[in-house]
Amino acid sequence: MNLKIVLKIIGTVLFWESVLMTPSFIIAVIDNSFDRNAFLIAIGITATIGLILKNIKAKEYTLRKREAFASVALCWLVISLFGALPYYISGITNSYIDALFETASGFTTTGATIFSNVESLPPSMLFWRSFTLWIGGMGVLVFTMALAPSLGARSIFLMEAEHAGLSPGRLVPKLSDTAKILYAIYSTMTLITIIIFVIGGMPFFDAVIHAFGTAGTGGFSMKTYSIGHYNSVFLEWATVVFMFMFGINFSLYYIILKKDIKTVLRNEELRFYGGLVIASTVLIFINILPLYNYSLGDSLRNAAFQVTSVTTTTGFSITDLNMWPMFSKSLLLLLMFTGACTGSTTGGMKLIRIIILFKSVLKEIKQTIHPGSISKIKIDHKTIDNDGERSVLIFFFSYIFILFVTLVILSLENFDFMTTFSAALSSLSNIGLGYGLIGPMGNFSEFSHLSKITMTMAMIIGRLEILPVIALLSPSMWHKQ
Amino acid sequence: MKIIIVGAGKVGYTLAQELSMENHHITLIDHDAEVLNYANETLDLMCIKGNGASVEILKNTDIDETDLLLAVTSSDELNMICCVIGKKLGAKYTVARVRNTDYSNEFKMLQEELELDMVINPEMDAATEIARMIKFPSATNVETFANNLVEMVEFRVLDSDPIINIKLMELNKKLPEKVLFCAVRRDNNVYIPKGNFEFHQDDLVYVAGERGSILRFFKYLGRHPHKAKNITIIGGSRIAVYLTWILQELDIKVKIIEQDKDRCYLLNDILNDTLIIHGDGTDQEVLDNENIASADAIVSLTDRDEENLITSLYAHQCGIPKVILKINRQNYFPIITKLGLDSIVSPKFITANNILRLVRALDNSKGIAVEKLYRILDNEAEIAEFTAKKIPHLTDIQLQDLKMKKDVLIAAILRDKKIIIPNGNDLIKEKDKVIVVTKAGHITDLNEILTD
Repeated sequence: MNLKIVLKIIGTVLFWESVLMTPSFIIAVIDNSFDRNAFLIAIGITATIGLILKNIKAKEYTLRKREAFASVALCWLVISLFGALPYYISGITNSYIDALFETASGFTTTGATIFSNVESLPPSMLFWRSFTLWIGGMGVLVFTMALAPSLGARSIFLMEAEHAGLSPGRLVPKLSDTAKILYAIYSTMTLITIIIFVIGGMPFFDAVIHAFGTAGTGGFSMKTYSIGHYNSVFLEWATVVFMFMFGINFSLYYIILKKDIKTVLRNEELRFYGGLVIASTVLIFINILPLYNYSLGDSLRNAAFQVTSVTTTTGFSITDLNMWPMFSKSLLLLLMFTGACTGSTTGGMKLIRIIILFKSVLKEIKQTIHPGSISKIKIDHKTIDNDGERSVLIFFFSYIFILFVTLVILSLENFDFMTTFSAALSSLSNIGLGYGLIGPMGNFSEFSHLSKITMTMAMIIGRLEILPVIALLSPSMWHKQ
Repeated sequence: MKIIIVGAGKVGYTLAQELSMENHHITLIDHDAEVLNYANETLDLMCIKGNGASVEILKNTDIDETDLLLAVTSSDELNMICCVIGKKLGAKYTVARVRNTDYSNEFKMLQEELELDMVINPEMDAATEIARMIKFPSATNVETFANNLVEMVEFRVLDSDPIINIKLMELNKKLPEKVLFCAVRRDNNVYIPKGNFEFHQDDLVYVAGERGSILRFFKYLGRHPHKAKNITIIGGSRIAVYLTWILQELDIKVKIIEQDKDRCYLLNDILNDTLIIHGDGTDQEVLDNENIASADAIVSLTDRDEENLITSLYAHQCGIPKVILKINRQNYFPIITKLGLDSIVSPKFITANNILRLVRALDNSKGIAVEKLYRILDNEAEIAEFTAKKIPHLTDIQLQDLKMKKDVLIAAILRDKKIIIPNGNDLIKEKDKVIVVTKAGHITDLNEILTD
């Protein structure tokens, strides 16, 4: 591996991270808040180290797949390490590990928090927390690519490694233009969310924070009861709609902009996504009816909210899930695995993989009945070749394996099973919501440092979809050439 | 510019590579997923799998906003259909590669009837290039600039040349007429020579000047142009046919050695007054039998790089004054030049270069200032021609006072149809044509030669 070029990319990303910290710093200055200096020091350190690394002279600039994967994995670790500085320096977290957990939870759009009382945080901190989540949703390197196209001709590998889901497509020939289009769609949709939230009666700053939480499908809030705090049916339904929209593949929005609605409506993953959300909502709606005294409106709203919140891995909640019947809880647990569409800001396995897995099972059955039959899996009339199918199977195994490794380490805490399992799944799938201690009213502060580090790693592994991070562990990755 | 390239073969890929580096928006269409995958990973462009002549595929590429459609698949007919459909769907400029000799006399008609804006024929271009090399035997490469007033000639320094081991500033005083040494290649490094540079034996040198000055310069070197009369071609490919046509017009006798008997008969049908020999061109017996040592030049044009190389080495050893060979693979170039063979022709590169020239010309009408651009010495250095606009810190300032980038050289200035080979006291005025040599990377505007 050509370490110099990796460091160079990390430097570029760190430099942009320091730029991303400035809005929070400005808010702190306007607010005259105590954490002003914390942001200033953090920006100084991050920018200095970023600029030093950025100006490393490399002999060779070709970015191979291994350098790209290593850069992405290391970048995410490094931005979390530096992004934690404001929390740590200002002293609002007890330890650096807590700060790191909170930052990683932000960038990976998990939205798990260690703050037991979020309402006491200063606005600048709340903004930084939610901003990491918004940037992390579409990708830090994609952000860098949109602004600094100098990452090299082969930066497609970077996008491939950071992108959520299967094979990222180019929307237009130039990769940096593709990144710009993605961020333009993302920003516009976020802006619309903010406007609708303000119309729904949220104060402007609250609307921004919650819009970031919805857009990044992360679910950081500034209120203990999140959206439920505003006690508005309109806001809750609006959140359901927006969460659903941010769970859709962003390239479909580009196709809509090109006025090709037909292709979008025919998209298999989108249809599956819609069907899954509607079916789960109906089932949970029936199951929780007695809990809400047979009030159709309340039950439907709560069911729809929790289903979209979990499927899109946002993790907002407007009710205490621990009170819900077991059937609903299990169904939500299943949805925690799947996530939503590829190419969206959601976490989890992504529905397209689930579809491919189902189709391979069907193919296997078909081949048992007709041993000589030739069949390939097709998605949207495009053949998925054997390599594609194999990579999904390998991904599925790795996902389950890492889930259980996380589960085993977390069980050292000796909490109940629901808490431990949902904590492991919640970090790996970037949801940030669970049952028991980490239910809607709880937080992750009870966990030990070891568990927090484990969950931090699980969040990053889950966000980068395993391979880039795991590849770092391979010694041959680090060999010089 | 938005460019669609149909066909990701040798030429298609090279074009995509060069054009994407120059910041154009490229879409590459091919039906082979493997080559597309390679292109997608190594270049910044969009790949689409499918038939480039299919309306549905072309519509997928926003063809109505496309500035240029290049059809370079291996099939002439597909290329033509592709351009016709592309034009109907709104592509502004279409270029088709047509290489079959049967069509070669019908280009004009094809262009008019099919509304092709340009037809490229790599074999014909290669043949033209070879013919030029034969006309100037002492030079390995010749480029012309500024309405053909300036010539830039590549030659290899021999141990008998009187320019060896003398500092460039001393040499400039001794030369009969002013010429400018633009670029030198020595052991895989490219230099832009400065005053204290000394030439060594085997350096590959680019020298610029007026045609007359260049001729007298070669006379000074003791190399008298010697008109070629007998040419032997090994391999009866399409290039050989085109080349024979061109050479016969110059009254040069051509002998073709071809291995395949059927091909020999075919050649005999197409070509008149040409001696066709059936035999293996790599076989020394055959070559000696044909007494190739008496030929004025030998051109190896078989389909295999290795065979061309072997034949050429043997010919070089026999002392034939001019040895020209066709090489397809770019990575062989440095090895071959090391062996002393300088006159290499690569149809792929000639085609790519011609199309790049066209793209730059089209771009020019959109505001980019390069008028002509050549890559020399295996793409290590670039010669570009600009028309100067009024630029502060550049125009009307003596060259010695300009803050120019390292490795940038002003090779010639054309003012009122007069060539100035500049020294430090000259200056660039508005509307001058300026020829710049650089190894500092691609420049798209004249003011980029200044330090930032």
